[in-house]
Amino acid sequence: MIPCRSVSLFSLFAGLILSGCFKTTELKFNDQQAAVASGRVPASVVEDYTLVLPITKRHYVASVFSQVFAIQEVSTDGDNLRSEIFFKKEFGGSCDPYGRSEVTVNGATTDEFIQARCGSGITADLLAATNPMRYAWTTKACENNIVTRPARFAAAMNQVLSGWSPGSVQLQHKPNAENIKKAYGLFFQSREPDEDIVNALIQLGTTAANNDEAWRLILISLCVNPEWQSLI
Amino acid sequence: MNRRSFLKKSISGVGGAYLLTSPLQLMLGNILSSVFQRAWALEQGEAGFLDKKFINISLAGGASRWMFDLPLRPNGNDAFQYNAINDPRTSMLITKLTPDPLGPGGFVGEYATVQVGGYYLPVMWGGKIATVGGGSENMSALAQNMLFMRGIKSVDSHSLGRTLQTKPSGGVSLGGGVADRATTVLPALSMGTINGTFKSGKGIVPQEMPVTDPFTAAFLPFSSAMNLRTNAASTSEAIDAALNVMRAKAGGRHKMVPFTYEDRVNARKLMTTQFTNLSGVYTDLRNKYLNLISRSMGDATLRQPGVDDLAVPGSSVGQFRIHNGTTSTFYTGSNLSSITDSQTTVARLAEMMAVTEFMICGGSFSRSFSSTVHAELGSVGSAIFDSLTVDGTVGLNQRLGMITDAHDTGSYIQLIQFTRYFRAIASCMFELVQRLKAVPSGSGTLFDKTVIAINAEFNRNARDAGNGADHGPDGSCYTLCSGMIAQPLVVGDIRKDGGRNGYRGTWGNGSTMVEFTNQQAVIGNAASTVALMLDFPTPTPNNAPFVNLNSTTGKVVSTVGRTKNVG
Repeated sequence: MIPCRSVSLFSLFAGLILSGCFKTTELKFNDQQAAVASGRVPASVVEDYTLVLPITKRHYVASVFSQVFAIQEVSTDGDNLRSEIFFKKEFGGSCDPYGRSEVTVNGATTDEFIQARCGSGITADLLAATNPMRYAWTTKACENNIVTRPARFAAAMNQVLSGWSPGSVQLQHKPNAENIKKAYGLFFQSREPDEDIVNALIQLGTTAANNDEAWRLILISLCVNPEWQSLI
Repeated sequence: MNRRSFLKKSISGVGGAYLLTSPLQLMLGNILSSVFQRAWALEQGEAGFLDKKFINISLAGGASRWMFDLPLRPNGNDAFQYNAINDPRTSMLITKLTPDPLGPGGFVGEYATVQVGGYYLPVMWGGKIATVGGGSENMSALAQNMLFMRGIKSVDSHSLGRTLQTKPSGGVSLGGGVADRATTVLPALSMGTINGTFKSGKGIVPQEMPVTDPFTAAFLPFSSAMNLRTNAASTSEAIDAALNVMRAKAGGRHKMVPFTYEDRVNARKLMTTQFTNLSGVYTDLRNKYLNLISRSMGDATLRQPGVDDLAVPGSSVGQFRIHNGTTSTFYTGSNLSSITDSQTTVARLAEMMAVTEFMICGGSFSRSFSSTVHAELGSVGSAIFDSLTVDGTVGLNQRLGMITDAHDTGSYIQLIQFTRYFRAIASCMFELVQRLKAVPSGSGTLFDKTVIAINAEFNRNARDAGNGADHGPDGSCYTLCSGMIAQPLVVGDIRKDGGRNGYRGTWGNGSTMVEFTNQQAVIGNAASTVALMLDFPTPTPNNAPFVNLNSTTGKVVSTVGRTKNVG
């Protein structure tokens, strides 16, 4: 048990440390104000830079794709996911052999992406950040899985709708608030969509000629959405 | 007539009708004019031509600058001292040679200037630069849009010094500030090493451009050969509508997330653009700039009297020493002026210029693809020596790379090597400026929106013996070229003396300045200048810019008084 006096001292130190932190922030602001007040720097040229957005690395992006479309193992699959996501340095991510992840394939535990970890000229830790290249490759991967590969599309749909099969006209297989939330959760794991987003996706589905096409449009919209690649 | 030409002619046509119309027609004309102008501006804005542009040319290695963009006697009569005290025969601080039987090799160096505008610039500005089509232009034409900042304190480190030029604080870099505000699809590009030199507030990373087929590499992920349902315009619009709703909600989660949607939109724009023959486009542009470099190095008609045209016989004294990275060698051939020829290159110069011209000006696509390019140039490659003495052994007709980190390169070789190196850079810059001037932007041209910066990790201070120049972080210079600069302008004060570590002479060592609270100028002052011109908040708010912008003309005016040499 911590004596009362120690608690008080601890509180005092914590308070000092915290006030020090705030003082630093305030000081920075005052420095900028002083710079403007001195007349040496025009007010228009002072701005605070505190923008940081954590972006996921290629391992995470590839993992989401492999889960949504039931791609067994990227390293042996050799398909578009490797060339469009995992080998692309635009997605960042290290080649550290200690940064391993394991998956279970056919009941056996194996290294995930072991063959592909550091291929295609990726030789160093890469900063994961945002740029158009990243989303161009993402769009390609989305289209290649959802539009041109029926089995991949079916794998995703089976996670959204029970009993779904291609060409289904069943009423419960039409896009609605409930099943759109499931589709949303494929990419935005453990997140619920806002009501406006659900309605926008339902509306998108109404522009399609049939259920299959409606779901392709909805899945494409979710897949190419850059937001799920941000760690927020 | 394409849409752009139509809009442009429509504006001038409607404007010209003012002289002949009634008040009613005048009013209608006014409305029509504003409609066309709005459409024209909108088109330019969508094409990225209204963005500010920043092109950074980093002279890796830190070449000596006093023969090019570091004026040491800008007023013509400034206090000045050769580093071999008042003896130009063995001084490094020379811009010209004249025959003198008492000088090394029968020549003597001289710090010579030429008047350009209201300043006296190093004499090479009185020479010629190569232009496209085999012609030439007075180099002074380029100076009309240049701002020379001198006396700047940097750091004694190649890597950190280079980084600080564009990223002088922990905040956003100069290129990052431009990229954050860019509407172009690839906001930032890089060539060469860029470690630590770029930081964006939005998390943008520059697209790395390889020297081999960079356009194909850059646009590869945007190629969309498949005829997908999702590429249909109506479908794409429906998807965009849904994504816009999601984007509107995203800002509530994190203020940065909406920026990632911008990148997706930009990616989509490029995926719907048809690119053909990108390799050929790059090859043609690169060859254009390679030709300018080749002529700068090898065309005898561009050589300047007294600067690099004299047949200077070699010698085994300091002025003729060359440092090629591992050994020190003496040039002992018959004519020092022949050390470069049409095969001599400047690493990455042609490639970065080709990339910049296409990505900024857009070629036939009428679209600016990028807003900032950071390029790191390499050394002079494939210089030729008809005779070298290496460790007592004479070698004939050797080709060498001549590094710009010229610790052990003597004054005569530096003069000729760097004069041609900078002539090549100036020739390429002049051509790039012409291309920027050819692109309309608002009421002016893209050149009015652009800042081209030339910087290096430091300048060099001069060895007394004339046998090389070491790191000179106390006297760096930083040069800008822009349509926002209406006449040659030199700012920043330097000292007559050489400063620390026993270096002597007026090599550019910075002086304290009253305008900077009696401190020496630092890179932050140069960075604030660039930020001011490019219209974004400076990453170094405690360092004032060297200039301000005239509120009427938009052109730079000095805020630090007439440049001077102190002491």
